[in-house]
Amino acid sequence: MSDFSNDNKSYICYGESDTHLLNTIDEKFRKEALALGAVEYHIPAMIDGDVLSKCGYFATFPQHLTIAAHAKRNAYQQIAEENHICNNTATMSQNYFTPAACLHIYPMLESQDLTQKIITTKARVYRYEDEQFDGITRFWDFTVREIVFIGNSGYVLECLENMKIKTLDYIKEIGLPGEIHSASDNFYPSKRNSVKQKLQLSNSLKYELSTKINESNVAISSFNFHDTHFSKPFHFDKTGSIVTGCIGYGLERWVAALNYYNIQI
Amino acid sequence: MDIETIKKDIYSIILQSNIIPQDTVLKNDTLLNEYGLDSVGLVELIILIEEKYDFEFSSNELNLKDFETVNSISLLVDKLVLHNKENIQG
Repeated sequence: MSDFSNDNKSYICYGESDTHLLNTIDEKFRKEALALGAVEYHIPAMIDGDVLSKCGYFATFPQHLTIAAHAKRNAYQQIAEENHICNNTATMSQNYFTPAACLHIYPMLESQDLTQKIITTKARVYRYEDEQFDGITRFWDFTVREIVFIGNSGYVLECLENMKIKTLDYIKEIGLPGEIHSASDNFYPSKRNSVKQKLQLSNSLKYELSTKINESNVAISSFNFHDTHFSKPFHFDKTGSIVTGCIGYGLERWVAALNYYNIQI
Repeated sequence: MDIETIKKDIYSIILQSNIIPQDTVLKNDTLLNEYGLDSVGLVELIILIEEKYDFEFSSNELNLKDFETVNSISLLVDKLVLHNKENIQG
C-alpha cells in the first residue's frame, strides 16, 4: 500500500491498489447512471460565490466553505523568502471550492424548458468539517460520483428509489454490510435550519447508505430529494412541477469500507 | 381557541408575510403552492406559526401534506395547540 495522507489528514493520495478500487466503484455507478439514460458533465473544483448564494449555501452550511485566495502582486518577494503565504500576502477571491458536486449543474440548466433529465459527473468536493479529519473517512478534499435527476416529483422519487435498490443489491453482491436509513443534513444551527432539518426528517427527503467502520457508522452514499429548492431559483421549473434530486457516492469512503472488510472487487 | 379562529390566524399570517404575492385572493382549500409558496416560504411560514402560538413543531410533526392549504394547516395547529394545552393541564 503506497497511500499517503498529509499531516492533518485532510486529504489522501492513493497508490495503485486503492486507485483501482476507487475507479472500479466509480465506474460501477457511472454505468448505472448511463443505463438510466444519464448524460455526462464535467465540472471544475472552483465555484463562484454568486452560485453558492443562489443555492442558499451560505445560510445553510457556512461551516463547510473553503474560499480560494491568491498571492498579492506586491508580495511575491516576501512569499519567496518566507516560503509560505499568510494573511498579509494573500487576497481572497470570489471563487470557492465547491462543497457539493450538484451545485455546478443547476446554473447550467438555468432557464431551460426541461421535462426530465439525468446528469452524472465525477467531482472533487471540499468540506471543511471543523478540522475533524481522520485520513480514512473524513477529508477536506474528497471525490464524489454524483447523479442528478430532474423531472416531476414522481419521476425523481422513482429514480432515487431505483438507485437505492441497485446500490443495496450491489453491496449485497460484494458482501459489504450496510443499510439505508432516513437522515438529515448537518445544517449550521439557526432557527430556519432547525425547521429545514425537521422537514427533511418528517418527510424522508434524505436517505443515507451507512456501513460500520471501526465501530462508527459511516455514510458512504446519500440520496436527496430537493423539491423545487434548485429548480425555482434557477428558473427551470417553468411548468411549476419540475423538481430535482441527487445521489452522491463518496468514493474515498467506499474505498475505506472495502478495505475495512477486506473486499476485493 | 376554535378552529375558525385558527383559520383566520393562518390566513392573516400568510397574507401579511411575503411568502406569496401580496395581491393574492386566498382560498382556504386551495393548494398554497398554486399561489407560489415554495420551500423557502414554507420554512418562513412554519417559523411564523411557531411564533404566533408559542410552540415548536417536533421533527415528526412537519409532514408536507399538512401544509398544503389553510384548512390543513389549521387542523394541524388545532391538534397541536390542543395537545399542548392538555399536556400543561395534565
